[in-house]
Amino acid sequence: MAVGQRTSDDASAPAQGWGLNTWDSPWLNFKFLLGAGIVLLILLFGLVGPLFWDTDLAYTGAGPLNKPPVWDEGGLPEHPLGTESNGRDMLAQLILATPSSLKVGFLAAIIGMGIGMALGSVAGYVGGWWDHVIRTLSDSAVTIPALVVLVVIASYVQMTDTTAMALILALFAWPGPTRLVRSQVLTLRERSYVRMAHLSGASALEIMFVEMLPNMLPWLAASLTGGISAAILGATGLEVLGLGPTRVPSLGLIINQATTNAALVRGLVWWWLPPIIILMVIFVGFFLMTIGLDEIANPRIRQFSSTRRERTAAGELPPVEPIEDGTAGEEEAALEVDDLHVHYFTPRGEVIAANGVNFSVRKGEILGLVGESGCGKTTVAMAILQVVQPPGRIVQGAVRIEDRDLVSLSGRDLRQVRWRDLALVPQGAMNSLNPVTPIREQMADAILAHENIGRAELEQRILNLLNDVGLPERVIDMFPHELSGGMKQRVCIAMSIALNPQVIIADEPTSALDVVVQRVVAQTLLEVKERLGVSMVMIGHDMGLQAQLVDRIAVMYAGNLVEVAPVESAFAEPLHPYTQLLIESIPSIRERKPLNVTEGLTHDLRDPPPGCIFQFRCKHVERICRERRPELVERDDDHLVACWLYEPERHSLIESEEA
Amino acid sequence: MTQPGKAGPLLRIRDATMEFGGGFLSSHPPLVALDSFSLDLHESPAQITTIAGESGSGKTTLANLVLGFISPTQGQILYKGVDLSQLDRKQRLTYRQEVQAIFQDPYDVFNPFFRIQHTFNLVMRHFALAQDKLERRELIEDALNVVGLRGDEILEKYPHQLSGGQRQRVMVARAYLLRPRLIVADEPVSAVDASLRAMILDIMLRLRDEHGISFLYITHDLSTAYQIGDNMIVLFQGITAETGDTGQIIENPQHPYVQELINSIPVPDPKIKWDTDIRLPAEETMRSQNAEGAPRGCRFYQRCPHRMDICLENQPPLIPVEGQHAVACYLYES
Amino acid sequence: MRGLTKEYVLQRFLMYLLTIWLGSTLIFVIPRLAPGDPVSEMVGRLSLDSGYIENADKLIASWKARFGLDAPIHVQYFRYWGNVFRLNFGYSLSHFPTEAWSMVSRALPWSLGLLTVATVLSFSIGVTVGSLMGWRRTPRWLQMILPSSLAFTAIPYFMFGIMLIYLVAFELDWLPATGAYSRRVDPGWNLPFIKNMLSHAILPVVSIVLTSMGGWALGMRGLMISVNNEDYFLLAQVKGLSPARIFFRYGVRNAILPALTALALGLGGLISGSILVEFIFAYPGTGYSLYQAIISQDYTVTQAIANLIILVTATSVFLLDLLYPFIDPRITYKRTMR
Ligand SMILES: Nc1ncnc2c1ncn2[C@@H]1O[C@H](COP(=O)(O)OP(=O)(O)OP(=O)(O)O)[C@@H](O)[C@H]1O
Ligand code: SF4
Ligand code: SF4
Ligand SMILES: [Mg+2]
Repeated sequence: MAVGQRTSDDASAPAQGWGLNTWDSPWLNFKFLLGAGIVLLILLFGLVGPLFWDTDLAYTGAGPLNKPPVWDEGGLPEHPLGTESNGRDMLAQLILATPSSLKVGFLAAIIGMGIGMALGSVAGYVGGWWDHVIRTLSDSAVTIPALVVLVVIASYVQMTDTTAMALILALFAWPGPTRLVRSQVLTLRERSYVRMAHLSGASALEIMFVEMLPNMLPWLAASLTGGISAAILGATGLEVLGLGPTRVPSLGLIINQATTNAALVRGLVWWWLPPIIILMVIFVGFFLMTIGLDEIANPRIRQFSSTRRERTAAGELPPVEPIEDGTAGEEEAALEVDDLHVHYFTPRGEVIAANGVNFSVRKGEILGLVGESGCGKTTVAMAILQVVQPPGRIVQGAVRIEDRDLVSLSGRDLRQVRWRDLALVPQGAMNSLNPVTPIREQMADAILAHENIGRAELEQRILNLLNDVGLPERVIDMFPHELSGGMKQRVCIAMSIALNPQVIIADEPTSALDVVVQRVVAQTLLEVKERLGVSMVMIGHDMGLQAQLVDRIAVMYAGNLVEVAPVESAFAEPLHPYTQLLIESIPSIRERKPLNVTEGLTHDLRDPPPGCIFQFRCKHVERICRERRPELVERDDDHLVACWLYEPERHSLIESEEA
Repeated sequence: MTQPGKAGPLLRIRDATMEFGGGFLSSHPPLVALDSFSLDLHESPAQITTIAGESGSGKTTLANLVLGFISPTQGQILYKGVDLSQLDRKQRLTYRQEVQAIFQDPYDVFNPFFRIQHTFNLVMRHFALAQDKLERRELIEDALNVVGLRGDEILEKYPHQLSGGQRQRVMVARAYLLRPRLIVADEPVSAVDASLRAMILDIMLRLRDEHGISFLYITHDLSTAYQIGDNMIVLFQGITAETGDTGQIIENPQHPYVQELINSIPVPDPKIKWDTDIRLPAEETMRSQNAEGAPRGCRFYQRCPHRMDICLENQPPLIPVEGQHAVACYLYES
Repeated sequence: MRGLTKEYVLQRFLMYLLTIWLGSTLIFVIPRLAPGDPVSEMVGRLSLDSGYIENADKLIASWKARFGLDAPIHVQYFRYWGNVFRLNFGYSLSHFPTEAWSMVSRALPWSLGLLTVATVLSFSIGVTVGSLMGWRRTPRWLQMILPSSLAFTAIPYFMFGIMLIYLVAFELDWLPATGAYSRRVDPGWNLPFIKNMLSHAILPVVSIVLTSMGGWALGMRGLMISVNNEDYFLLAQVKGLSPARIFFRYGVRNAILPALTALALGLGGLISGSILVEFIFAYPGTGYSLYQAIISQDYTVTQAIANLIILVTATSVFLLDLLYPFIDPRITYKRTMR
């Protein structure tokens, strides 16, 4: 795999093609397969049954009356499931009734799905008035209580066979799929690959069926299975009320005859229970399919259950070994990160997102943490804050503030340290504020969790904080959606300084903002830091911004720190080849210079090579680089680098080893 | 930048205006995403024309108009003199072939359902580029070579098995396959890592110089535009603020907004720290301001350090300052 | 921009009218689209049941005149709408001098009571269970036992009802099987009656709640899982808030919004299902009355009840819609911006 790998295990993206080509295909979902198996079995019972059993016995007078099943006293072997009050054989009835119930369900749901796909794609694709009309119609049609209308219709229209019934049921089977397809088409329409297909000359139909449809499949399938069971329910409901076709046996009709003949009171369990059991099995089957398909369509749900399963399977997690030498760090350090290892335990292997990361942040300084996308910057931030998201976990290391190791804290102790000592300005400021509560409450939350102050004081505090970051006072009563990106980010900054923390972690605090706003926000951060003397870790990938903001810079590559240096010397004479590459490839606004093109293939994070992590892209790679990993060593005044180039003894090292 | 082409411009955008929203049961006035935009793009010489602006300035709207995804509420977009909506079947096909695109997000441009091959097949089939399988394969290999990839390396893979840089290069190869005259590149490098950015930009330069393909390079990043662009248009809230030669604009910006923009770009040198202080009026950043329609006068009025009374009355027209360089600002009215 | 805006209310109100119109029109149109006409169909059925009917033709003609079925279809349609609007459907056929409307209004309170209690219970239990199931911090033992509450999810209400009647009412004889109250108690506000009434309501309510809460729980679980992955949820943790506060203010508060939409959309289905439950339990609500009206071929009462149920459903959905902007501050903004 290569640079910029936002691995396919990213929870929000489909893990791979939806195709059926691999063994870890999402379609191999246990619930879905189990449900499908159940439905198939029932279908088989209906289809194969007539070959083994005389279905003529299903009609009146074919046998003795009210005989119990064969295993009960008085049961007859020629009627293994017994007979009812008209002498009809139960087994024969069930064999005939089961497929007809399924047929109605399938037929109605498929018709509904067809209509839904047609209407939904027109609404989503064509838009405009069509969309308006179709959306309004389907929105209101879903809320109509279907069975009421069905009952009324059925009371006028004599339904002779299952097809007529299915047609009428289809009246209520289209709004669901329509709404689904419409919303899917609306989102898919904006996807780049659909627009690409458009540019490739594909017609609307081709785009719908070739490009969009496969990507909607799990949703459509879930809607179809849901629709089938809804239709079966509707049909059975009518039959139970005696409003279905009366000449063809159906499961609902058997129940209807049983209840109207007081089978319950008379204790004729074998009359009413078997159809109910078959129906329940059918419903359970479709239900399992539906929730299985939901999981297929929504990887997050799948991931949630799988991480839980793994956790319970592996028993309690081994606790992280505390690292003893708590005094190793520098004295003026506000935050120390010591040999931090974070792994993501994905179904396709262990992603090593932080591999022995070591650094400290001095009091009152801004430390920049840079590296390309996916190198583990956010992971380190989350590990410092003790909120690594599953399936990730800190497997080793310590994070110290004032000699307290946060990794070993939990519960109340951890909560107390959070925000009071260690605050965060998050990466996605756009989504970092609770959308349904006003700014006032969100800021108050942070303060009140740690301090006990009165209302008036609280209000004043919040207003002062807003003022500090240059926001007008009325922001206090606004909701996040009423603020622009820059304002939200400033609210987050105001919130982060609310308790005067020792350290603020700022994860790409300006990356989604326009340059002018970015600059305003960056200034705000600098001001805040000057005034409060707080230490900061400033994560980012924009080297220009780093040059403007930070005091020291730490460069990360594929989970490893490769260089830590004061920002001036890092820019003036970068030591690590990767840092050199980073600095050379900054596009300048001052001078036009030829582009510096490098091939960029890196290793798979799940399988780091022995030796230097940068060896595949390095121009200076030597033998020792492939065999032994360079340590982060101070090579210059306060300038640390992990590269063999700066080890004069490197050749003798490897020779002595061979000897 | 209206140079006389042999047979008129390849693409001519005339006073295109695009409004969104408004209408039935809506309390908001329509949002003007692009306001009376004009631009001529010529077939030769091949040039990289940058459309620069911040989010919401109308860049992507312009791309969508040029690619025919939407049609302007007012004004015209002419391909070889024919309005896009009037193209007949055949003309439409050549238009599709000659005006291609690469998009921003290299993670989203491939249908996750299919192998990479599918992307190329689609183009091959609809434009009937090849007679047989062999020729088809050859053409694809050739296009991939241009971007430094090999067919057997990627064609059989699924999109998620490629890196961001590879995907973006495949997209360029796909466009190149059609031998277009113009490629609309909508933020092609903003989702790609710094060390790979140069590679994509370099490919763009090579396509321009070696294959005579023009680009409409849409970006928010003035520094990459400075490195590769020929002409430049800076948009501000749907209005052309400044237009001219890229070097002229970056080195010597005239419009107060463009000056502010260029000043805000962080200098990648720790020794040259920001000197000035930028303040935005708090109101300016409020979302509602942007959502509602623009006032009559200059849209930069609120933030402009040089604002005058006349600026409130009408949107300033484009005023030429030097050669092709023109600015929409009353400061330059003589 | 917060709270209710005029456009929003207007939009929802139009939707409300449309729903009623659509439902009522379906009831009117479909029977007429079918071959034959309602009255001949009914008379045909009567003759099926009771052998031969004298002067069937005359009978049909006179019935048609009585219902105005001899008028052109658009006239019929306008008259029908007049009826729907005035909630006046004429006299019951089977209980002649009684007005259809008064029969309906007698049944309505039973249904409303049953459904309100069942819906509120199943929604709130389901949402609670689902939220806990979708939260990472839920204690392990709770995580283990919660899924058991989904056991009956896939089973239709009425089938579960039949089983309950058999087991609890007949086999165990713990609770009454059918009806809303026993003959032996006097209806009124007295303790024995209320106790009796409640004991009759338990089984129907239980059969609806146990089978429907799983659906809400599963939906809520999925929503909660998405919220778990939101940036603001993470920030809440980093802020050092108490787990309870995070769970309610940041988790449930956001996840419940789509669940409420689902509730509005699902009301129709819930009401449909309850018709069968009422039938099984012979519970004298609108669903049961509808069944009886149909059995006794009471044309007017059928129409009255069906329209009433549609009206009530649409009204509840409309009320939920009006409530929504107060819970989700973004809604009017989004819907009008679109
Ligand atoms: N939830 C997860 N499951 C599996 N892998 C993950 C998860 N989160 C992150 N990773 C992997 O861990 C590595 C580091 O990711 P991280 O988000 O820390 O990178 P980053 O440097 O912050 O990137 P960016 O610049 O894009 O924000 C990546 O390979 C990523 O794919
Ligand atoms: S250790 Fe070797 S491979 Fe690694 S960066 Fe240094 S020279 Fe290059
Ligand atoms: S026209 Fe006036 S307000 Fe607009 S940019 Fe020029 S000076 Fe400023
Ligand atoms: Mg990150």
